[in-house]
Amino acid sequence: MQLPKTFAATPMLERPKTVAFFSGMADASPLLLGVVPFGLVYGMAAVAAGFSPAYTSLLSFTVFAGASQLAAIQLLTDNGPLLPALVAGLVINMRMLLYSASIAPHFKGRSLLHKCGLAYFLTDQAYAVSMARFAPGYPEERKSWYYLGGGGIIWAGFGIGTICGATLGANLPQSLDLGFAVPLTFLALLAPHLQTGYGMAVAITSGAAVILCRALPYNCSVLVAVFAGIIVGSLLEWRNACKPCTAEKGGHA
Amino acid sequence: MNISSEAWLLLLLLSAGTFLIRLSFLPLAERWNGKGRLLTLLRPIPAAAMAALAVPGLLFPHGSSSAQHADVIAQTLAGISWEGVLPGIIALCVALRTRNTLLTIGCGLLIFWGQTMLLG
Repeated sequence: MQLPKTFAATPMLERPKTVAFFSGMADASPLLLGVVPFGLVYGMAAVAAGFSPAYTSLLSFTVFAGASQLAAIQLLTDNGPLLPALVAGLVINMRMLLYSASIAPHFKGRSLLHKCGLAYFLTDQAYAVSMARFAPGYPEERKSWYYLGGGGIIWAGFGIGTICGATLGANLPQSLDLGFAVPLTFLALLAPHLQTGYGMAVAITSGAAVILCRALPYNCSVLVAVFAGIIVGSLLEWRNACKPCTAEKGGHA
Repeated sequence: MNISSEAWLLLLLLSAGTFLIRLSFLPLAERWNGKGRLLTLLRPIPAAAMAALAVPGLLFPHGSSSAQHADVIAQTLAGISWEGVLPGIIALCVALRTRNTLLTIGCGLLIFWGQTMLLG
């Protein structure tokens, strides 16, 4: 009979959860190229708008959703009342409702407290990296650790970026335009989905919709675009399911 | 620096609201069995969301006019700045060929910067 291994007797890198945590970190770390500049841009913008570096940084650790912070702060400083700023921020973050629904099956069986911890780290990047990795067969008990590794490094990068942007602010060189790295990270996260006709159709629909709806207030365009993508995706799956012969499946899947 | 009470209220409410949005469906996971119609609706979300986040940044790299002013689609389309298109396409090709995130972002950035330097 094999004796149960004690925690200390197991070398760090043989613990599957630790391995999952670090591989989440490794997979998400290239995204820091976009996350850190985003923190910088937000930090500089908030301080330039008249908020203190401490308040600016605190917001990044409590709200931890850059796009909504940027929008809310800009609306609040235009001598605007609280409500539009709050609504704008929350509408921008509504897409996370969809992330929450879509990643929830992977975190089944965790305690509510554990789920609260997982929820705090739910970002575009942690979500996309995890969903790409959680193929059928990925061990259930490692999923939350992989996700926390990815979420943790994004959290650290965004926090450090914000603090640097808020404190160094005007001293940073203006010539290096890092802002373009932000859409590039989302492009890198999108690319794996473009290898099927299904993903391509969803992405093109969503990309076209977000441009056409750009004039909508409160950044509603992203939400509308995701829903347009869901409609096209569902139609394709429905058409696929209706087809009696599976030979046609390769046509758009 | 004096931070208004409205700023503190914003911090409190936006933090709590965002957290609740993130949590929303996580405690409900045990209720559904992960199969069926709902899953069909959820499947396109990663691709749709990443496309919706990437495209505006690529086509409007300088933020363009604020959304409130561009109230017609034609005005939005006229505001598209094409300097992000070439770096975007090359980054996409790199991403599809190599599946390397670092290389994708690096190539896109370098071409964007190079283009800005050459064209002013």
